[in-house]
Amino acid sequence: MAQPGSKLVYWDLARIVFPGDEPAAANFAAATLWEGVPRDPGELPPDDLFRKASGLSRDEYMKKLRGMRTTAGSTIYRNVAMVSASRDAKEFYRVITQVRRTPKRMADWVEMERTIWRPLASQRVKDGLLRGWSSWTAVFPFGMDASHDAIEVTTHHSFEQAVQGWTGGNFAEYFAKVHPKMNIVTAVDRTRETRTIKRGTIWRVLVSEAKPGWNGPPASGE
Amino acid sequence: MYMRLLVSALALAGGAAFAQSADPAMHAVVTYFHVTPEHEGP
Repeated sequence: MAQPGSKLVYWDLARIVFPGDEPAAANFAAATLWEGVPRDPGELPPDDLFRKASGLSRDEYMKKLRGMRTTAGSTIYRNVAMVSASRDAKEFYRVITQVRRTPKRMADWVEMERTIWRPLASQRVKDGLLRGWSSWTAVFPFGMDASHDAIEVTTHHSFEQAVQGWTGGNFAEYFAKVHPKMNIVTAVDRTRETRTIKRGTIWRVLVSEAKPGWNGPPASGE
Repeated sequence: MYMRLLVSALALAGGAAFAQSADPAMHAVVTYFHVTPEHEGP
C-alpha cells in the first residue's frame, strides 16, 4: 500500500548504452522519484487505473509485461542533494556512479556533496553544460554484501557531453568561480577519501514523465 | 511496444492523493529489466 504522504512525481525508462565486457543482467531500467516513502512495488494500483491508463485490465497488463521482460533487480535510494533538471521531452543521457563510502567518513561525504559539488553542478546546469545532478544513499539493499551504498548521478543533454564527463572542459575555472576560497586539488582529494567508485554506467533515457507542475524537490535536498 | 506499455506507469501509480508523511525525503526506486530482443524496439 502507498505510504501516507508519498507522491510519485517522476518516471522514466532508460536503455543501457555500454553494458561492459560481461553479459549484462539488465538492458533497461525504470526509475521513479517519490516525495516521501514509495509504494511497496509488489502492491499494484487498482484495476480501474490500469484500464484508464492502458485500456487493459491489471491482469492483462501484467501478463503482457511478463511476456516482454524479466526483472533483474531493484534498489531504493534516499536523496542527499539534487540539482533539478530542466523538463523537456527529448532523450537524454544518465551516468550513474555507484560508490562505497569510507567508514567513519559518511557524514563528510554528505557534507561535500551538498556544499562543494552541488553548487558546482548548479552552475553547470545554469550554463547548459549539464542537464541535472543528484546524489543518493542506498536504503535497500544495504550492508557489506551490497555492491554499493550510494550513487552519484549526472544527466547530460547529449552523448558527447556525457562522454566528456561533468567535470570536463574548463572545470577548474568553474570551481574557482563557485568556490573562490577553496583549492580544487584539496577538494578532489578529500572527496576521493570519502568514497570509492565501484562502477559507472551510462544509460540513454528514452522517455520520461513528470507530474504536472513538479519541478524538483523543495529546497533540492539542501 | 514495451515503451508504450510503460508510459502509462506514471498515471497508474500517481493517481492517489495522500496525507502527511513521516519521512518527507525524496526517494528513488530503480528497477532493472532484461527486455527480450523482439521487444527492445529501435
